[in-house]
Amino acid sequence: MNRREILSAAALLGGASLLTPEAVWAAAANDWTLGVADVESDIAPTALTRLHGRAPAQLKGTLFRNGPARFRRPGGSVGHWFDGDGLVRKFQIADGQARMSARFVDTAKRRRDTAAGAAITPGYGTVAGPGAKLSGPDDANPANTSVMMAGGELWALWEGGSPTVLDPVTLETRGLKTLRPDLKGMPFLAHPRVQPDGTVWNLGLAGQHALIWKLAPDGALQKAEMITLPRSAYMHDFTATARHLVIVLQPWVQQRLTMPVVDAMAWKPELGTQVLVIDKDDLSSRRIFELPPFFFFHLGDGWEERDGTIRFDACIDEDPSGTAANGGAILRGEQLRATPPRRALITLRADGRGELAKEMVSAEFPRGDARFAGLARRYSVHVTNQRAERPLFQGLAVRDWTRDRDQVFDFGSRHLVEEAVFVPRPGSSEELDGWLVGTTLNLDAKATELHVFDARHVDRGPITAWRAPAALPVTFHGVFVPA
Amino acid sequence: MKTLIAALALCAVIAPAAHAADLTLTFPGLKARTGTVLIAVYDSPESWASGKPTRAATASAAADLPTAKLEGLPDGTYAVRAVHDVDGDGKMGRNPFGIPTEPYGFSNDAPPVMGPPAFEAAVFPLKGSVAQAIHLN
Repeated sequence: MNRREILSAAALLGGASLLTPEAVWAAAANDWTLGVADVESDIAPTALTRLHGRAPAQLKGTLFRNGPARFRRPGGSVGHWFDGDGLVRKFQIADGQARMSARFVDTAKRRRDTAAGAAITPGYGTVAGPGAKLSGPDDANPANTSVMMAGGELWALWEGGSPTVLDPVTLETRGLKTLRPDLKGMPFLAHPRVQPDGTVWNLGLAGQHALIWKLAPDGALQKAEMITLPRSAYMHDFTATARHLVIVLQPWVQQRLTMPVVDAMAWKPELGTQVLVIDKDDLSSRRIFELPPFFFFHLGDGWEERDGTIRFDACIDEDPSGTAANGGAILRGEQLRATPPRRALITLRADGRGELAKEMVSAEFPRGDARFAGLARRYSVHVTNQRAERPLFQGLAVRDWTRDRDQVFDFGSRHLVEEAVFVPRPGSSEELDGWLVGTTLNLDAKATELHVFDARHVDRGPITAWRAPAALPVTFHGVFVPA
Repeated sequence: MKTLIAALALCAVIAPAAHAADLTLTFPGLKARTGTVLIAVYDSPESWASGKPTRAATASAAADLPTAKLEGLPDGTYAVRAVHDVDGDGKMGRNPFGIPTEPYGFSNDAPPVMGPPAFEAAVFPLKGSVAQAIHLN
């Protein structure tokens, strides 16, 4: 195009000045929307192609991951990234080979939306359409956020409803999990905290009311007790130490129990953030700490020091104006103005003082060595964004809290990097001695990739990687089940 | 024959003659055969909103097709709520957050939307003899 053509094109585009820079940018560079594209159907078991390296012989097992994968329908689409239908992915690693399959969770929501040819079911950011049915939260349950193993069952989790039971072999949906008849339909957050002994703690939330779940390692119910919270804060995650549940109440407060959830929330920074610490053995024993206001989705595992000091890492935002409030814009290919969440360390002193140490490091999806959950630990694993002009995440990082050092592997701007899960090296009990297994979406190859890192040497890059014969939208959370 | 005539004569005395209607409700496909189906019939938006039914009935869940017959209702418009009281404690079970734990449904199989459907969604005309199947889930 010569100068004259450029000028005439500019004249034709006289209206371009009406477009915001963000909209122009999005139109020019919305390649990343492959990360929120629709998947039409399940993926039958298929082999992945090895790209480089060799998988450790001791690394054997299955990575299950969950995330929304169907957003758009002819008669109307969901209004938020978090309202897409859950697609559970299964990556099996054995003998240096990798295979995968993926299957949509067969939810009531998916059935009704499919029958209507429109996203009629209300949700996190979706308004109810004509013919919607909502007898309880499970009618809106997309089962799209995380997964956990409970006994021989694979549970697909959402934050506002029951776990959905899947067959871990075929990924076939068996139905909603009711842990006790009188607790049918009680919510179960997508972030259970699992002790090293396998005991599962979780919350179910409705405004200021919370049910505290305690499950045995095989998923059997041990305790279900109601507590009242100081405020109806939006909560995606909580944390725990060996002795305490640590419940962070941000100032994004639910004004009413209606859907869409985001429309019922109000940001009230003047309230600050409260942290409720509850004794696992006596839920009536509670302390409250005060922190400055911040917004968060995810927390790292907590630990407790000899003098009673509690510490945990968090991935925080200044306010909910990012993904939380604007998950619909992401689906439209618009880049959010909000900066990605940043890492912080929260300290709760025995004398009742709370401290928030914010860092500049971009961090999301914090994980660790599950054998140290609730115990003093040294490392956190998280994804990171080192390119302000790119959405989502391009790097994988390991934080060493003891030596105050970070290792980062940058996949570059052509990958969307998803959460990585730690897998211990058989026979070793040292923290983070093993591998990190995670997925990325390669925007050039238009394919999902599976990567394995030596967890102690993330900065060296993956030791091996495979490519799937499909591009799947980015996931939220996963679990590795050793063979 | 004599008995029939006597029965008809008796009906003529106690029934409000031409304006009586009969409603037969069936509950196909119950997931359990224990307990009973508790049924409440409403004749106006006001009674629907207040939760005070015009008539109440029960049907045994043990039957092959659980059925309730409500006879002698005045002609008019009605709406029905029903719950399968599976554990037989005489009320609709609810979880600690108030969400029903026992199957329930409404006339016209009107779907609930964050609470019972509107009376207008569940209402049907009743004149003569009317049968309706309600699916509880």
